Amino acid sequence: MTSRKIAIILVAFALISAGCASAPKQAFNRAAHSSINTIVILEPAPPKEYEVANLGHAGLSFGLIGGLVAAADISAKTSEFTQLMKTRNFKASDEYRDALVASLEKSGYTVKVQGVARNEQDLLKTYSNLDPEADAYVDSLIKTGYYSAAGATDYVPLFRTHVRMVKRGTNEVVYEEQVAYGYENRADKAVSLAADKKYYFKDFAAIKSGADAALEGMRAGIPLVASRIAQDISR
Amino acid sequence: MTLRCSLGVISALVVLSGCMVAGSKQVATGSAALDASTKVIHSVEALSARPIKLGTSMRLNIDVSSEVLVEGGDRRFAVLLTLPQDPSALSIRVSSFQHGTMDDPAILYPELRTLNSRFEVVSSFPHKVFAYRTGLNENSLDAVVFINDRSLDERFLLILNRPVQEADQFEAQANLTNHATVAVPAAGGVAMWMIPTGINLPPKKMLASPTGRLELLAEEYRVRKVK
Repeated sequence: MTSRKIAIILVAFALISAGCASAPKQAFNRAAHSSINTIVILEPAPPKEYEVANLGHAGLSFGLIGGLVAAADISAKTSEFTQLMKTRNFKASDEYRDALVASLEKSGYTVKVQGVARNEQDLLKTYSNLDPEADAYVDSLIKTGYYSAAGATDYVPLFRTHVRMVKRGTNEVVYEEQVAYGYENRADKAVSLAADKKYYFKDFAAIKSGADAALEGMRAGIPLVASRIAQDISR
Repeated sequence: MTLRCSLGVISALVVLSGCMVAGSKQVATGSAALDASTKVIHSVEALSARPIKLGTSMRLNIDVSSEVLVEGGDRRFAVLLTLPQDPSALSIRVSSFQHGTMDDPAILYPELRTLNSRFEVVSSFPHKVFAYRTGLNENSLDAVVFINDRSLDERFLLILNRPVQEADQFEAQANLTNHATVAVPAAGGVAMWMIPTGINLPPKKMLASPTGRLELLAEEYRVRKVK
């Protein structure tokens, strides 16, 4: 493993643990934005990996060397789990996009989907030069995987999104939220949707041996998250 | 296995400290206080109103000292607040904080209504406008309501405790990573060693408590822009 990869893992690990405290929120004021009829969902970036992380890894109490051991362990489990999910043709971003389309249509919006070029795993920095038929764009950053609070606790599924709706023309952020299914996102004070206990796994071996159920555990959160977003921005 | 159990116990102790009253006990105490209260009011206009100060976070304790509004035979704790009249559009965030222990949680499910100067209901907000949020220190049910059209003459915000059946109750959960400090012998004495530990508690319905602690923040409605 390269030192760069280790550094990335450690940064990612810190972000999972601490969250992004500055993540802004904006509740949707439907009366003030009743002119929004057509929503264009911007294709979310597919997660590069489906992470499996023990956030209370024992290695973390052994200084830098222990931290590197923890990072290597997370990296190995993440790679193996990602492969297991890929062989099951799991495409989290596609499933999320489809669930969001269905939920927003049910809320009465006309919904379109637009693919966008993203240079990084993040929300777009600018919303100009997108579909001109939109009244607003919905942009999402998603993450999914399994997390454990410590070595002695179960792995819990997570499907998390940072979602933002931007009004075309004015570029006003009329809605912004963090919605987390399963493992909590306390640092961001995210909307928390519980995962069923049947999707808790006592260790990584249990996740591997029950890979189909583990996939189901992540999938179960996608329509819940989409539905919560649609409810928040319903007309 | 012994280590696993020990770590679990340490975690639970750390996490549960400060959450001494079980949710079911709070519900029972609150219900008894509601039934026994002598501060009974039979019409909304007779409630004492407190002003909401724009931009200032307001703490509201709904407890035995709160007024009780009787409507159609139902008794509910009630708080009446006067809305600021200045900005043309207002956003009002209402948070109700989780009480009880992590395996026996309770919360006050707020019911929100805006009233005009004749104390008639202009808007009432459904249960689903609230979202359950978990935070570093506290978990809460949050909702944001907006006052947009001043021609509707919205003057008051009425907050009541909402009786919520089990099927509609929100689920609380906990995924916490902690550090347990262990003293270990070391050359020349004792060293303190931080062991990461944690707790994952599965979803648990939060009981509907008649009493609770709320926070409210009213601000001018404004949105930020991106490029």
